[in-house]
Amino acid sequence: MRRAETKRLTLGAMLVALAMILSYVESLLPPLVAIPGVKPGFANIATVFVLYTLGERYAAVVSILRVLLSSLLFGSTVSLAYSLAGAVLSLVFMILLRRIGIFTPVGVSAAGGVAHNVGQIICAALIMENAGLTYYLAPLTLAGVAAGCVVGIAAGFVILKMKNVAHLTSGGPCDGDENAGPQ
Amino acid sequence: MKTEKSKMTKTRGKNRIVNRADIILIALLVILPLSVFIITALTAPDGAGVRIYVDGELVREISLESEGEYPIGDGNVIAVESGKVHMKHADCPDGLCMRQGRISRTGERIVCLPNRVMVEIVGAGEEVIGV
Repeated sequence: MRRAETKRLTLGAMLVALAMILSYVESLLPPLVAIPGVKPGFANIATVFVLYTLGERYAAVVSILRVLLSSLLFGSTVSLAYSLAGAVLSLVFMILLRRIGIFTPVGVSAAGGVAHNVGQIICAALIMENAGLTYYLAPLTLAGVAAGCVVGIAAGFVILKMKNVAHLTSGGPCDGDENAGPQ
Repeated sequence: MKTEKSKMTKTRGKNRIVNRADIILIALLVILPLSVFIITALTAPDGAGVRIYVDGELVREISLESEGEYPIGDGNVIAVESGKVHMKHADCPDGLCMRQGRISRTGERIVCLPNRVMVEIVGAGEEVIGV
């Protein structure tokens, strides 16, 4: 049991590191569209993967740790607020949609992408004290769907492949995967 | 992306990447904002003036008929040309506001997040020239 927990913890920590690398690489890419906040969000591949393999608690920890650490290293205080708002709302929606049980990681991630951008807009509107930013709601929602689909397809393939190496996410051959199953 | 998706849906059993519920969800997420966006864009009338906000506070209002370049704070310059407004210059790191194009319809906006500058087109009757 302790061994299983150690394995999960290690895998979770590795995925935080992976997510940080992904968001760093992404920050080096030039912006795709002339709207602030439109990004592919590759780091969410790690979040979606964790959500499906290690469970909801780990997904929340990995996602929020990733945001805190990468904002600390590569971002600013303002970008931290935006990213955190996006990450939290996205997590809430992805966890809820996964619990419904009819969606694959692609649907869950697409909704997560939309929620992420909506969270950022709400945060920006609060910071700039102007609800006018809702003008960007439509384009950012579409960008969120596109990014979420790409992330979901990538995460979906990784999750499928990793089923064959189940010992990575469960503690060992005789250890049940109690936290990762649908709750 | 569509062909990619339909190909993957054919993968048999539980190992499919996308299912029908996903496609319905994604379609809804695309259609709803798109229709709202198209309707608002098509019904918005031409604007009469432009309001400039810094940190959420209205700092200036300019008629779309008064052509010229107007500085906003230290970092931004907007230009009014033949009834349209665009961000002529910005010192922000990403420069996204300069790529947001020319705006002229009521409700259209240019936002420079790093400098907390927002420029919004307002319709006739909303103007208070001289602020």
